[in-house]
Amino acid sequence: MSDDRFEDLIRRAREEYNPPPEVPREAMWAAIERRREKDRAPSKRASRRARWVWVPAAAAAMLVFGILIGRLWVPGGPTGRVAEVTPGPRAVEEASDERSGGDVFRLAATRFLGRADAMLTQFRSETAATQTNGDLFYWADQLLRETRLLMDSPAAGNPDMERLFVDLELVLAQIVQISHNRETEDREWIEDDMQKRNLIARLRTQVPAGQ
Amino acid sequence: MKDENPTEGRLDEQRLVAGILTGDPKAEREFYDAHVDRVYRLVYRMTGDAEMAEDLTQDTFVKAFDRLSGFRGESSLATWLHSVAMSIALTALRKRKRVREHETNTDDVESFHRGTPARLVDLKISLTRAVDGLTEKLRVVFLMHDLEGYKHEEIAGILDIEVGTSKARLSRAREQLRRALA
Repeated sequence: MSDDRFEDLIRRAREEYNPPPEVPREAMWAAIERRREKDRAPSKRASRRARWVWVPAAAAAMLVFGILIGRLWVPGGPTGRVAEVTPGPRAVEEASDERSGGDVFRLAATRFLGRADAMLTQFRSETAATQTNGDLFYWADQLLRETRLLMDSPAAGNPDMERLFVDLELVLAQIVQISHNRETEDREWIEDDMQKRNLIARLRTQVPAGQ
Repeated sequence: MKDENPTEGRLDEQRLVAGILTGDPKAEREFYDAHVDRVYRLVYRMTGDAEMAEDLTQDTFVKAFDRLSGFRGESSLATWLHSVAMSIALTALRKRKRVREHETNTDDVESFHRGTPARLVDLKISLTRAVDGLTEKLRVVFLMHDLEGYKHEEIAGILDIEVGTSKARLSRAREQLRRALA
């Protein structure tokens, strides 16, 4: 077939292969608004309910975080003080080498990242099983709040950690967001996003074995 | 996607995203108006079904509004939106294909694959069969580039592939069509 003949066929395909009709803009917009309104309704109720659950939960998380920092951050104090909270070998080593506040935050971040790793691994396994239980969303929301606290702390001073926190925040926010809309496709989307960001591998790089 | 002045375009996008995230209905409508035609056209080309195209376009915007907080500005807003649309459309088409495969009887499949020479049957049917006969990856690039006028750079961004891959897929698609229509 000559090139001219082929190009002519492509032109015909442009006109004849599923030629789009006029775009039904207003009808689609009305449907989108209806769907969004419907989606918003239960989430408003849920967020009102959730506020009562989360205010004490956030306060408790802050308290635990504060206690952890208080117990670990003893400027010029003995190294053995750090060992009281049984950190992993790398954490003890770091605390022994430098007793700066940054190390304390880094240790807190390391522990936090270990839990985030566990949660995301659980999420992935439940995604594979196409079933996600409600506790996981509760856990994700709790971790999301802690991520935001850590993002504003010296733990995010390292550019790698900062990027990791940003990616983690996004993925956790996505997981929390689907808690009211548990479509398989949504979970697969998040799973893809986690893979693209190489999130679990990066978490594990920051968390020494045994944490 | 229309980016006459990239810097201005980026600022407009940031303004639009900020407006939508704060729940400004005007910003939501502006975003919809700016992109709905291209999204609908592409989805319609892929499905050939008005009802399905409407549903998928709606799904795209509902999902985009929900997930806009995750838009990080690494690509243009249009590219990001199109990748949402593409993901939704491909998932729906795969489901439809499974249903159709289940329903199609063997005789139809055989006659389709044997194919009647293009010159002996109506050209429109031949064209449709030839394009439908492309694999999903080749068909999508062909529809986007040759029928809807997307640039390879746009296609690459939307499908998350290299520009060279987009070009190679188009070339293979055209080669297969040329053979099917000869």
